[in-house]
Amino acid sequence: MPDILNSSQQSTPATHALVIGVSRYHHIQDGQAPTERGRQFGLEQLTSAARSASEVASWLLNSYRNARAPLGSLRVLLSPSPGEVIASDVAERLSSPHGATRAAVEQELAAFRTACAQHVDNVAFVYVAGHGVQLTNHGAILLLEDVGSDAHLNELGGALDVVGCHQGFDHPRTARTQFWFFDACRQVPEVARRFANLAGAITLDEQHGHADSSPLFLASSTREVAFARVGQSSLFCEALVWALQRGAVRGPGEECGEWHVSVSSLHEKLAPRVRLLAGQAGEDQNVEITGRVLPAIIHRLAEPPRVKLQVTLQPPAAQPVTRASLFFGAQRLVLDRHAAWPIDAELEAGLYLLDVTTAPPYADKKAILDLKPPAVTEDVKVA
Amino acid sequence: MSLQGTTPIGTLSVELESTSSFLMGALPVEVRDSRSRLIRTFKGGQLIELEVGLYSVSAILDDGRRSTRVVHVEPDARAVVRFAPPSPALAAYAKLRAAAFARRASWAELPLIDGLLAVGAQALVATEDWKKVMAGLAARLLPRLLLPRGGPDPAVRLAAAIDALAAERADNGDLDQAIRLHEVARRAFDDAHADTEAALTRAEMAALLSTSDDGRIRALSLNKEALALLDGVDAPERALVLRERSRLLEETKRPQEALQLYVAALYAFMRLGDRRQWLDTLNDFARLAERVGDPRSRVTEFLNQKARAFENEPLSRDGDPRLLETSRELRTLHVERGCWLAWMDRFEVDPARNRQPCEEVPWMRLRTASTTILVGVPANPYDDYPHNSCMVFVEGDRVRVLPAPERRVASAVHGLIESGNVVHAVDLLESATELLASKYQDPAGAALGGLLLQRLGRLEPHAGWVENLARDFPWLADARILLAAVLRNTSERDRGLDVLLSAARQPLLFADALSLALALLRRWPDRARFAERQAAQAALADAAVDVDFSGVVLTQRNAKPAPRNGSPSAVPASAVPAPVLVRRA
Repeated sequence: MPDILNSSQQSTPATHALVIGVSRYHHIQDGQAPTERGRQFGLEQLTSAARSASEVASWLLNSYRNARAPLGSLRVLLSPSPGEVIASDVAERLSSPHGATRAAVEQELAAFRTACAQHVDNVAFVYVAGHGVQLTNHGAILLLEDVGSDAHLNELGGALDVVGCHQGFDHPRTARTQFWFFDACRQVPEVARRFANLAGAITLDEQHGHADSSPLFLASSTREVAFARVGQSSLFCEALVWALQRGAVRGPGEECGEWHVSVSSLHEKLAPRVRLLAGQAGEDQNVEITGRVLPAIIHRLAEPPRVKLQVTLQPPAAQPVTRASLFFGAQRLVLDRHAAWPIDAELEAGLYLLDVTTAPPYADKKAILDLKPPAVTEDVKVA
Repeated sequence: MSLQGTTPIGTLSVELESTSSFLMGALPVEVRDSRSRLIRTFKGGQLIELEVGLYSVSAILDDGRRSTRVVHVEPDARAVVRFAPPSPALAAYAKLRAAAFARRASWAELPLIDGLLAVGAQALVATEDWKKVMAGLAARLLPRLLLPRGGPDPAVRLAAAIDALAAERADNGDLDQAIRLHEVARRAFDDAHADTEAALTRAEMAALLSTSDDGRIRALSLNKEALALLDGVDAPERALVLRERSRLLEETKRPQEALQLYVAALYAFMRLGDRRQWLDTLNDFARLAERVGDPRSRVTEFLNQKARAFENEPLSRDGDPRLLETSRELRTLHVERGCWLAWMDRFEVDPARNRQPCEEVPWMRLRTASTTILVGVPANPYDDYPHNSCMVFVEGDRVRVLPAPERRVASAVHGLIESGNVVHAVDLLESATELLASKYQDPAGAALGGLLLQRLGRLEPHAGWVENLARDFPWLADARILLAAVLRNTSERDRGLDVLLSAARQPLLFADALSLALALLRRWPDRARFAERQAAQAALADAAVDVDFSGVVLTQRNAKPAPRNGSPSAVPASAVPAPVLVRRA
C-alpha cells in the first residue's frame, strides 16, 4: 500500500501527506522502453528525485510534529532509478509496486483527496519531485514514470498538473491548511512552446471558495533548472529538510505558542538556502512561492532547539587574564567567569549577554549573542 | 501603558527612518524576548516599556528587506533601535541621477539637485580658487538649487539661512563624489563660462592628483606651468600641448610634474571625445606611473574606468546606441552606458474629454549583447518628475527596470517582490497597493501590487479598486487581467471573460500579468467562447516563449520592431524629444 502508515479512516483532525518522486522514466530516450513520443522530450533519467521524495517522507515519519493534526496518512509513490538510494525507513514500509505511473497517481490522489476531505481541520502536505514542465509563473507540471507512453491519448497523459490539482484543492470543504512543494526542473523554451495548449495531464475540477492557507513552493524560477547533487538529494529537498528541522524554526508568537516553522519563516529561509547551495556549485536557482499564502504553522517543536556555541578570544595572549560570563536574557547566569578558551557550549536558543572581563592592556567587552540553530561562533576581541 | 509589578522596567525606542510618511507608519516591526517569544508587534516607530532584558527587534524596511537588531533594555534607561532606509540602493540611484544631471545641456534646465547629488566640496577646498568657484556656482544656481540642510550626503550642505555652501566633514575622501561634482560643474560651464573652466579643471586635477591611497584628499597645488598652459590655450591644442609638455618633463627627469600634466591632458582629450589620443596618453601615463612607483592607484583606477567607457564608443551626450526605440509617450534620458531614466510627462486628467495619456503601456526596445529586448516601463503619467520615472539598466542580456526611489510606495512593493519578504508584510502590501490605486494615483504600481496579491490569494477583498483601476486606466491591460481574475468566480463571469479576451490582445507591463492571463485562459471555469480562448492562449503562449518570467516587468527577448514599429505609438529613440524634467513642488 502506498499509504505507508496503513492508516484507517479518522474522525479527528490529522495531517495527510502525498509524496511523489520520479527519477525513472520508461519511455524517454534512455529509458527501458523508449518511444518516439518519449524521445521528443529530450530528457534524461534522474538520479535524485525519488531519493528526495523519500527523505521528505522520512522527515514526515520521524520528525513531523503537529499536536492538533498528527500525521494520519502518508502516501508515497516512488520511481527510483537503478541504484538510487531510498531512505531506509521509507523503503522498509513500501510494498511493491509503488511506482509513480499515471494510474497509481490517479488512484492515490483520489484517496488523498478523500482523506483530506474528512475534516476541515485536517492538514494536507504534498511534495512532488521529478522532471517538470512549466510555461509561466502560474504553471507546474510533473512528468510521471510513464510519460511518453503510446497508451496515453495526449502528449501529457503521463503527467500531473500540480497547479491544477492545487487549485482543485483550494476550497473550504477539505483540509483548510495545505502545504504544497514542487521540486522539479523547468523546460527549455522550445519544449514549452509545444505545450502551449497542453491537455491530458492529471488535474482536478476547481470549486468555489478557498482554503485558509495553501502556499505552493516552486523549487526554481521559470526556465531554471532545479539542481541536485549526483547520487544524493535535490538542493531544494536538502534545503527544505534543513529548514523544517532547524533553519526556519521560530520562537513562540501570535500564531503559535511553541517553537515552530511557519509559512513565512519557511519562505524566508528556504529561498536563500537553495540559492546558497546552488551558488556553492556555481549555479543559480531561485525558489518561488505562489498559491494562497496566508499565515499557517507547518511544524511545531516539542522544546526549544539547542544551539552549539563557540566563543574564541583575540588576541590569544589575553587568554590567561580573561574570564567570560554568559547570561541568558541578561539575567540568568549560565556560565560564570569561564577561563578556558575557546568557550564551547550547547545551549537553548535565545539571546545571551556575554560579559568578558580582562586586565590591562586589554579592555573589557560586552556583547549580545543571538543563538539560532544550529550553531553560532563569536570572535571576541579585547585588544 | 506601564507595566505593573516589581520587575525593573526600561524603555525601548524603535525609530524608523523613511522619506515616505505612509511607509514610516506602515512598516511592520516585531519585538521578541530572549526566548524568541514574540511579545510585541506594531507598525512604524514606537516608544514602549519593557521588562529589562535582551530583545531582538526586526522590521521590514523600505526596500522590502528584513533587518534585525538585538538590544539590551536596562532599568530606567532608554535603549534605541534605529532602522534607516537602505543606503546601497539610494547610493546607486544617487550616482545615476548625478550622472544624468551631469549630462544636462545647461544649468538652466536643471530643476533639482538634492543632497544625493553631492557637491564635492572637499575637492574644491583643495584648490586655491575654490571660494571663487563656489561663489560663481552658487550665484548662478541658487534659484534652482535645493540642497536639503543636513541632507543625506555628509560631504556638504547648503546653509539655507545664508544661501552659501558650507563644507562638512571635509576629509570624507569621497573621490567618486568629487568626480561627480566636477562632471556636473564642467558640463555647466561648458557653454557660458569658458573662463571659469580652467578653474574647474584645476579642481578636477587637484582632486585626482591629491588623492592618496588612504582615501583622503589632500591639498596640493598644481604645477604652475600646467595652470598657465590650461589658462592660455584653447581646448584641442591645449590637450596636445599638455601631453607633449608631459613627455618633455618626463625626459628631463621631472616625472611627478609629468604625471600631473598627463592627467590634465587626459582630461582634455576626454572632453574632446578623442579616443585615440586619450588612449595614447593613458598608456604614457600608466607607463610613467609604474616606472616611478606612483602611489596614486585611485587616480589610475578612475582613469581606467574612463578608458573602459571609451572602449566601445566615445562619450556622448546623445545617448546609447543600444536604445532602439520607445513608445511615443515615453521620454528617456541616457545616464551612462546601459542605463537610462525613463518617464512620462504628467498627464492632466480631464473627465470631460475622456483622454488617456497613452494607448498602451509604455515600453522600450533595447539591444543587448546577443538579442533585442522589449521591456515594459512602469512609468507614472499622473505625477511630476521624479515620481513619474523609472530606472532602466541593461545587464548583460537582461534588462532590469526599477521605479525611481522617490516613488517610495511603488518601490516598497517592488522591493517586497524582489526580496521575497512579502509573506511577512502582506498587510503592508495590501495597504500600499490600495494607496497606489487611490490617493497616490500610480496605476502601474497598483497593478504590480495587485498581481502580487492575486498570486498570494489575497486579491478578492480588493475587488472595488481593481474594478476602478481597470475602468480608469484602459491603457493598462494588466489591470483588466486582474479584474478578470476577480470576476472569474462571481456571477459576472461572462463579463470577466470579455475583459480577459480584450486585455489579452494588448501589450502587458508585468510578467505576472502575462502568466496570469495564460492561466486564466487555460483554466477558465466553463467552456464559454472556447475557440476564442484557445486562439488567445495560443497567441500569448507563442510570445511567452521569449519572456523572462524571473523579472518583475515583462521583458521579451528576440523582440522585432515589426509588431510595433511604425505603429502610431512607436518612435525611434533618436527622435525622442529632449527631456524636460519638471521640478516637484
